[in-house]
Amino acid sequence: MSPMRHRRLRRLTAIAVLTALLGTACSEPPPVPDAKNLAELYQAAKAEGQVVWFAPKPEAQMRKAIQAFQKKYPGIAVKYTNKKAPDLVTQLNVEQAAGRVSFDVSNAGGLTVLPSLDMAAPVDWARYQVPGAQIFDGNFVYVWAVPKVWAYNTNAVPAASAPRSWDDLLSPRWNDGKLTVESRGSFMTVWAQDPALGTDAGRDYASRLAQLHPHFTDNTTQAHTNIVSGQTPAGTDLINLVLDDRAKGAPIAVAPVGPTNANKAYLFVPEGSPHPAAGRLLTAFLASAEGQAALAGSYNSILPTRTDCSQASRNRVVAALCAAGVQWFSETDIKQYERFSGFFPQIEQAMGTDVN
Amino acid sequence: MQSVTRVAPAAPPRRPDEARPHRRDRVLTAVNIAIGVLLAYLVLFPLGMLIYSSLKDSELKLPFQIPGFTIGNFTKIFSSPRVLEVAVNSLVFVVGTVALALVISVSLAYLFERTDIPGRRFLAPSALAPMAVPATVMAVAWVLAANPANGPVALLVRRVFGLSVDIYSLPGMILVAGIFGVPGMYLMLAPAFARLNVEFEEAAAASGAGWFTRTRKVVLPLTLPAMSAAAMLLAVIALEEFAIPSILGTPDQIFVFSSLVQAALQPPSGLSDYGRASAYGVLLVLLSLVLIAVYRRQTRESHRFQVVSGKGYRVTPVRLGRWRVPVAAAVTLYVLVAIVIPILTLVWTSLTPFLQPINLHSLGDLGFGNYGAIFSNPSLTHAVVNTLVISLVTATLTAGLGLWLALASTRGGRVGRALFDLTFLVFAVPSVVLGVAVLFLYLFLPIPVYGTIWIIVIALTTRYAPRASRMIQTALLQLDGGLEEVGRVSGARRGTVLRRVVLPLAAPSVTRTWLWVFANALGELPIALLLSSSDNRTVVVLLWDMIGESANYPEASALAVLLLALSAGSVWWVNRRGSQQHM
Repeated sequence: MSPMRHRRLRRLTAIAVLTALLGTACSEPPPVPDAKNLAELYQAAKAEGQVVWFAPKPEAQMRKAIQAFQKKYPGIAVKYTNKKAPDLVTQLNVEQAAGRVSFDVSNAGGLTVLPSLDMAAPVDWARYQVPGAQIFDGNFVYVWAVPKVWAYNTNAVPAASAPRSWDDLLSPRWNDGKLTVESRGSFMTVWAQDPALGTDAGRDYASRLAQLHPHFTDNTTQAHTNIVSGQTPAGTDLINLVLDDRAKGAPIAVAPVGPTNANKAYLFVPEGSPHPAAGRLLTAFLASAEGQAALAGSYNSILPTRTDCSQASRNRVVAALCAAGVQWFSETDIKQYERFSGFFPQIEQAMGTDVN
Repeated sequence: MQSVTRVAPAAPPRRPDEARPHRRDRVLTAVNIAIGVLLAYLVLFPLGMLIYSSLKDSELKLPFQIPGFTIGNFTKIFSSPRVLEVAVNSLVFVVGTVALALVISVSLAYLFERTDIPGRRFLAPSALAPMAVPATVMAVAWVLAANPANGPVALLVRRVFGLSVDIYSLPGMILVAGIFGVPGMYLMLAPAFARLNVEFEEAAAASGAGWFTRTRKVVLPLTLPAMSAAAMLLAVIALEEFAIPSILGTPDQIFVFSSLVQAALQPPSGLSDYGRASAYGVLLVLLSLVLIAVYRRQTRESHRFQVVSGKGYRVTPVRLGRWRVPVAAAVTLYVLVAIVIPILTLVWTSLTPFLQPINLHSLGDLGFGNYGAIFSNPSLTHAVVNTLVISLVTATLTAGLGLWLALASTRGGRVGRALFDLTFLVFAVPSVVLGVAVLFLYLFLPIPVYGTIWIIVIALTTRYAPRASRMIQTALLQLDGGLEEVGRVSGARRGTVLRRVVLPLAAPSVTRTWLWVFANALGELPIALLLSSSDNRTVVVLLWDMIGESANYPEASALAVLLLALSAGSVWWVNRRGSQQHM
């Protein structure tokens, strides 16, 4: 081959590679599936071949549910990624603006619900047998709830001395770092839900709690590590973390402080997702009885919206809450989320933990 | 300063094949231009994105979705009720961290590189071992080791000295950040100390100067560029450090600059205030300009720092005499308290079924279950491969670009110096803010790197290139231009002088820079986290999931121990190569 032809060939190859790369970068998302039922949805999902799922839970906790899904719907690979709900909103917000959404199932809960509303694709979930009680605001599917609790280290605090109420937590015996408290104030959610408590009383309570000089942490998982390791005798926690460590023999228990918030987590399929049918199929599966049974093994499942101990024998989270005598409230409508977005900054201010 | 355009006084007679060297020179010039353009691209685009975003009121939207420009973000920053408190805390934290790390690093570099301290082969790598472990992990390890309630170090100090240690305080933050900064700083300082010609000190001693005077008037001034560069680097790292203030400062509500950046970029709602975060970034670019001016002023008279010349160059070690054993004991104590105890805490935690303090009663609970769990994690293999590729490519690319930039600044005239300074503009931009700029850029440009490991490589190279170039430049400043002059007078061309004279002398510094970048890329969290997707996750991102999301410290510790082993292995290997290069 002459040097000139060789150069031309190399130039053509470079142009072809560049065109292919640009083509990949600017490719359009696949069309929205129009499957009328689960069977059609499965066929469409199978043609897509995979589903990319992002949620704020460790992969090990979701493994059983993924295996159950793949057993029921073979031919669809599940790529799972653990990512915090606020980080998911951040990523999805930017990806949608650029028209390059990289995942098919996203998660929303607490303060991330409102910004996620516009990011969800419209889906008629009833077509895919999602129970009506689990469909929220049209496009969200309720899949699990995470009750916030007060927990204590049983080596440091005998059961008889554990805090028994919100008022009890203001006792001077918890002064000077004896309580670990999440600085963003999400543990105060129930004060914006339970009419018997109320937001004004909540602000007052938060400032009185701050006067005890609690040990603040950036998030509830850090608070949990302080309690389980015995650094602080008691503090704010999440029930799944408490039950998980308790099952391993850790000296930690749920304190009978109530009422509390059982934070609902929703799944949704983002607008512009690369595998929209598979995203819908996985979401519908996780909401189904089979999906819920697989999730419940890792303390992730739906709960009654208000205190109801009739399921205590079937659900370990309900059993733990009821055994500790903790009443709970879950979110019921969008207005509650709107109230939260104004309430949390006020709590941060009352505790002196607001940064910006 | 030497100039590459200098012409040898006696040109050799022309040869028939002299056209070839001309072509080589042209190729060299073309390569130089290409690298210069690449560097300008790597720096200028994210910088432009940063400035653009800082002028957008994008509290709830993306910068591109907002019409018009505003200075509102800057106004908000300066009118924040916490601005004064945060400024004072940040100043104390940064100055304290740099001072502590500088004292320890200079002492270690001097002792390991200049003296006959016993146990150097073991102590030097030990001091550097935790370099690749993310700050989050080290902060957690320190909490477990020194928390006032049940930390073994705090309990020991209370029992022996009757003093209470509070790791959750500004001094606690400074202690941990200072110790965390030592390995990086040591790597920058060690080559400078290693090259000191003992004749300078001997001359001072002959004039009657004691050890203290010699150190103050000869050793420290000659290593000033390295110390300045290292101090500047750590000042910036301390300023942007988030994990240590978050874990050790939040309990007592001690907020620093990075707390503000993080609050803007990672609010609980997930709707980041990119405008304000970028404005913080722009303020740090301005700080970079000040640092550039200071650094240039200090290194202006480069001939003052040239210690490696062709005349009687010796690096004989200084004899410690009767101080050998006490000094070695003090260094061993430092390594034990600052490195070994936190690492042992990590190892302990990695063997426990749930997080618990070190105590003899729990010995029966220990096992390797956490190691089994991480190896059964299907994401681990993929993450390990991603991490190794990212770290190796970033280290090699950055060390290469750093060497080129350092050469350009010392031997490339005004254009070279301008490029060197240009890269410095992103020096102080917090990694998470730089990550956002890179994210925007590659999401909207039709270059398909978003979601791949290459976007992380690009971001990390942009971040580390200015730092790497400073590390190498400090070594080049010590080389006497006469060495190259001799080569040129002997008829060698630019490329040959570079290959046969400059590169061998700069090699130890380049190797250590490579190690520094490799270790930091292994442990770099904010950029990896921000740019992570399902296909490009790294080991530290998995680690962060375990710590931040599932509070699974035992498994996280097991992963951190493996990362530590990788880091320690790299340090040992590079140290061995470094010793061979010095010989």
